[in-house]
Amino acid sequence: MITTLYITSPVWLLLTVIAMIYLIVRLRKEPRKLLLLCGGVFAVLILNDISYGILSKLFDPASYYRFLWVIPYGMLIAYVLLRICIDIAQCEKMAKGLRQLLVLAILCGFFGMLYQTQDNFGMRWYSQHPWNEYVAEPDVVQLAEIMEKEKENFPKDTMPRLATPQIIMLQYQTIDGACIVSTDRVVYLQIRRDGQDPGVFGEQYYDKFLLSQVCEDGICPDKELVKGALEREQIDIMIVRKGMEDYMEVLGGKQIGTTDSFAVYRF
Amino acid sequence: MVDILQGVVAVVVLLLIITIWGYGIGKRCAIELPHLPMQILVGFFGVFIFLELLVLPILFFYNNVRFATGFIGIFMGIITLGILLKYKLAVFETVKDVKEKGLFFLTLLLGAIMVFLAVGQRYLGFDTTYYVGMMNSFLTYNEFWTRDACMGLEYLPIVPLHYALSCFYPFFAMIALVFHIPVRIVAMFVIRGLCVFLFGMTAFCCGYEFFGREKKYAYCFTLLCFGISVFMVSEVHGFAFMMMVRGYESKGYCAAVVAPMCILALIKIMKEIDNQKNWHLLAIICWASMPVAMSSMAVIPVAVAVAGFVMMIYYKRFFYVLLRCFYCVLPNLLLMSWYIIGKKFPMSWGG
Repeated sequence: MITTLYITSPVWLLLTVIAMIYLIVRLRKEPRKLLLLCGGVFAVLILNDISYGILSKLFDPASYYRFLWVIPYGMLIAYVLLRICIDIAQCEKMAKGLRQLLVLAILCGFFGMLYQTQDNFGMRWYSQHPWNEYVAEPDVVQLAEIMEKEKENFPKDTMPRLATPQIIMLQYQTIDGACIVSTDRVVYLQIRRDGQDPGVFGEQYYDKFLLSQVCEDGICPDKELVKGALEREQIDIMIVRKGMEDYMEVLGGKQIGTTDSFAVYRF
Repeated sequence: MVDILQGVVAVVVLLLIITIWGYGIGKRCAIELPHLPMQILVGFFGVFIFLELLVLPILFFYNNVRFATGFIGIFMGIITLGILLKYKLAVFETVKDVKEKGLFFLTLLLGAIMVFLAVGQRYLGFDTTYYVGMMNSFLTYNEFWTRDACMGLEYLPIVPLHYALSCFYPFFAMIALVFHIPVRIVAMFVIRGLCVFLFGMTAFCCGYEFFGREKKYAYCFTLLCFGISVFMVSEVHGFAFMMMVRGYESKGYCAAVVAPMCILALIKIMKEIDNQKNWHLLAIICWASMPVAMSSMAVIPVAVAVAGFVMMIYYKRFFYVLLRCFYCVLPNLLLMSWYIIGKKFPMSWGG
């Protein structure tokens, strides 16, 4: 259902509906007709489950939410709020001080309600901001420093091939484009998270998946299997969780550095 | 820290260029520019149309990032200089009109806080690695779209038309190249900061039109839009989340700038259907929509089609509206056709 997909907080839905009703009641006859017609046509064309069923066969269903961007509901709510405030401020039946007090009360009440019922980007910033200029995990920044030194040992124009845990995969290539991450997005998103069979993406994904189990889960599969995968994937650098020294030695890896949470091995 | 300061310089230079272009395009294409925010937005859309016209041929005939950067840089410089010579300091005449007692500074302050909040948001999504990784690969390999960040930057034999038809990421990669800033810094600070700034401009334009063209109400409306956006964390598909968190993606621009501006232009047309300046504004927004974001491919034509259909019925001017709407969404339709054909018959690099 389209409604279950996109409505996360009922507060915004409620505010949008109230704003729409206010607007319809308040508008003059001509714009009201136009607004209702537009809303009706848009609802028939896009905002219903039948259209969702048809269009999601043509386009990626995960992209359907983009159609909702043509309803700028945040601006709609802001418009109605300001309109109410202007109406009160211009109401000559009330004393000026009372009008100002009422506008202030409405604004405080509105934002107070939002503060109580919604999370805000300020809290999100405070709780999650990583304190370095790259806005990246410290492990990733530390790995970049290790890699910078290690790349001097690689022939010119050769891109090192990496097997990494998910957190490194997600961020490392946003800092360093001069490498190839073998345990890629497909491994962590489609295969591991969504549970698809690696073979769907090609035979090589069985190897990539196996390597991701070593890097991400810290498990130690049969060493010959992993050695084969390392060879076929031509892995130069492997990043694993700390505490796997013995296993990595058996695989033939040489530790070239550590970050806060991971150890970096050269093959 | 030096990288971030270079990013600030990049934003200032970029804003200066789009302000100058906005004036030139407004005059040349008969688009009404009642205030600075509209001038900036028109310039932004104009720059992206221009970039698309140059980036697409370069991409398919001589895919070289440094060549593209030099070529586009020279062309942009010549055009900017041309506009400055033709109109002289008139290009900045809207700047002195922005002041409106304390409201201007209050909006500026809240806008700055919003930018600060946005650039500090962390988002470690799978899309982050794709988009920023792709921009990194442009500079590392000196080629657009030949590496696949979904596959750890392996060589990509097929042109990814679902991204390559927009010049958004190539443009910001070129900015990183010109100003010597790491791509991740460009993505997290420059692109996101600019997105919030342009959203402020969009909100001002909307407020100005909706409240009887009074600047004080436009500022109040912008303040309210900023204030409301701060509390929209839970709406992960909404414009505020796209702008504040995923603003380094073209989606953020589509949700917070292109789509609301398209709706504003359509409302202006509905109010004055015979005013050709409104149609010109819609045209420039629609034409720039796909260069700015591939997400606009279907979204903007749908919005124009819905409003066009309603206007046809309401005003009973079938061909008048149909022709103009068709003209506006023509580039989107052409690029969409290219994209759909490309899905059926994938194009490999080199023919």
